[in-house]
Amino acid sequence: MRPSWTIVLCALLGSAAVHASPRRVVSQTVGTDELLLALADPGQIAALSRFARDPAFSVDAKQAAAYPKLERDDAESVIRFQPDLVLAASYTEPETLTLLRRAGVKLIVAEQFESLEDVYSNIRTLGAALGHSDRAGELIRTTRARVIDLARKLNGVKPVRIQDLCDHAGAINVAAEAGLVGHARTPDERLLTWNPEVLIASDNEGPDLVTRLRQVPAYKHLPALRAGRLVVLPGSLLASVTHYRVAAFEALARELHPERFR
Amino acid sequence: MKRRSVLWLPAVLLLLAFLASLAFGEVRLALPEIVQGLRGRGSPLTVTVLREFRLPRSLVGAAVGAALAASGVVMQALFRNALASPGLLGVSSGAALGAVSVLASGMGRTLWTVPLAAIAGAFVSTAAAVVLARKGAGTDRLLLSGIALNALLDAGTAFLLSVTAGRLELNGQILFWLMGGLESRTVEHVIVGFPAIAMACVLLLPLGRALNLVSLGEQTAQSLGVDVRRVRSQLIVLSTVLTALATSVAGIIGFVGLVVPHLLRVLLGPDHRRLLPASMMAGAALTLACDVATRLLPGGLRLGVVTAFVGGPFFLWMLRTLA
Repeated sequence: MRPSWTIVLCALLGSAAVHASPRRVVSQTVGTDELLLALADPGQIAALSRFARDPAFSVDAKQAAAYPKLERDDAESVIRFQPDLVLAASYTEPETLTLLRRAGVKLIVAEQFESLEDVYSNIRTLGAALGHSDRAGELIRTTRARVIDLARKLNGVKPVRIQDLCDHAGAINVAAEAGLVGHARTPDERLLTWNPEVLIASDNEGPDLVTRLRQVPAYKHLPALRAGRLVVLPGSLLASVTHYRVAAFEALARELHPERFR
Repeated sequence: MKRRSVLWLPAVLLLLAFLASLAFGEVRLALPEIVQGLRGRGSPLTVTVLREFRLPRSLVGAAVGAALAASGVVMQALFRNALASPGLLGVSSGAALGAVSVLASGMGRTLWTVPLAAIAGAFVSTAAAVVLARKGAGTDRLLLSGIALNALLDAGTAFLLSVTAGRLELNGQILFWLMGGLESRTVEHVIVGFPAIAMACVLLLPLGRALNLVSLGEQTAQSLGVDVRRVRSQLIVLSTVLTALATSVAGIIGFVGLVVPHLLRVLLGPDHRRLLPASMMAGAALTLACDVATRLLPGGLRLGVVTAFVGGPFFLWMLRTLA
């Protein structure tokens, strides 16, 4: 008899858990899309953001195609999905947030995403709200492990001076995040005096980037560019505000110190 | 005689556009649902969408359109220039600079700061235009100081835009505002915009006769017994109030103030006593109709862009047929 009791109990607990956690979540930004896809049951996702399927912004563009997406950013486009939880960010229009609050929708607004600790905190908050704190904990653990692993691999390497050409505004300077020596974006004469060893760019800049950069006066005399030492990384990774940032660190480290990844 | 009867046309258009702006949106609603929802009945979703989302948007849109068109009528009469538009004295550029400064400094996170900064910017810049032109006190000087001021203010806005270029989300918010729009308008925007615009419109209506005389030229008006100085300052203040309020709640929306007065002058003749109310109604109707278009057309289209798309070719067509 005992096993069947266990089954009944599990069923009861299961249904209680399902009722307590949101079942129609709408995500309003690409960052929260990535977190939602990582943490929620597929059935909990009602809609993803307007740019969720755009590979220039979203790492999960392919995965996102399986879900409905918002057509616009305004409140009515969100409420159309009758959400019981909406995920937004501090840069969402304040008017939209106000209207959604007045409509009685529960909101989670991500305020900080500068550091990895901010990202972990966002993961924890969302995991708890979705009823999947276990998954959130697991995601944080694996991400931390990847960071530690990366640091171990890079232990004692000679720092490479890089220049982040990431014109994709708002992107995080991956180099600085990774503890490597980096500079802020300033494409002018100072760039020549810095003389970076490697240039970093986003693939959103399009093909033939080297050819095009060679026509820019400030760049064309750079030894790094002449030697073609240009690392192109996916723009969606460079601009990531989620756990995928660690993937950006890894990709960059792999390009800068290939000998450590053999 | 026949022309007078045309006045009902903008009224009907306004009514239709207002109903359309309540009826269309991402959430599909049938007519009975709309009627019930406005009365607070029906599903919570319907009531929220209609009362909290669409009604404020429609009210703000109507007020903004009426304000811009009325302001355009006043400016065109005052400067006796077909190209005069509400932003001539730097009102919209001043409002834009005020709003963009607040957004760029990161203080735009509450609902009130951006509209209030826009109003402040609009008044400061218009006052500057008037003060700078004072010595000659002629309309020409006012016009020229307005042009210079506009260039200065636009440069300020462009500077802030380029300074914030590295922050995509902030840049997006600023551009959003510069291209005008009625998305996510709230009760606060109705409070800032609607009553004051309605009052300014009511104060403007009796000045139709004075506008008729002023548009004949300052000296003629003077000789016909009009206190040109007083009337002119009244008109400038009212026009500034209207444009400032409209811009503060909906961003910069072009062409409404330029096209609507011209169109109605063709339909109704030059009498400002009819031109003013008709332009207010038609301006409101055009703005609401263009806003409905932004909801039905593929995402990302801004109201200011739609009014220019509709207004530009229409204006050119009108020029060709009238010339």
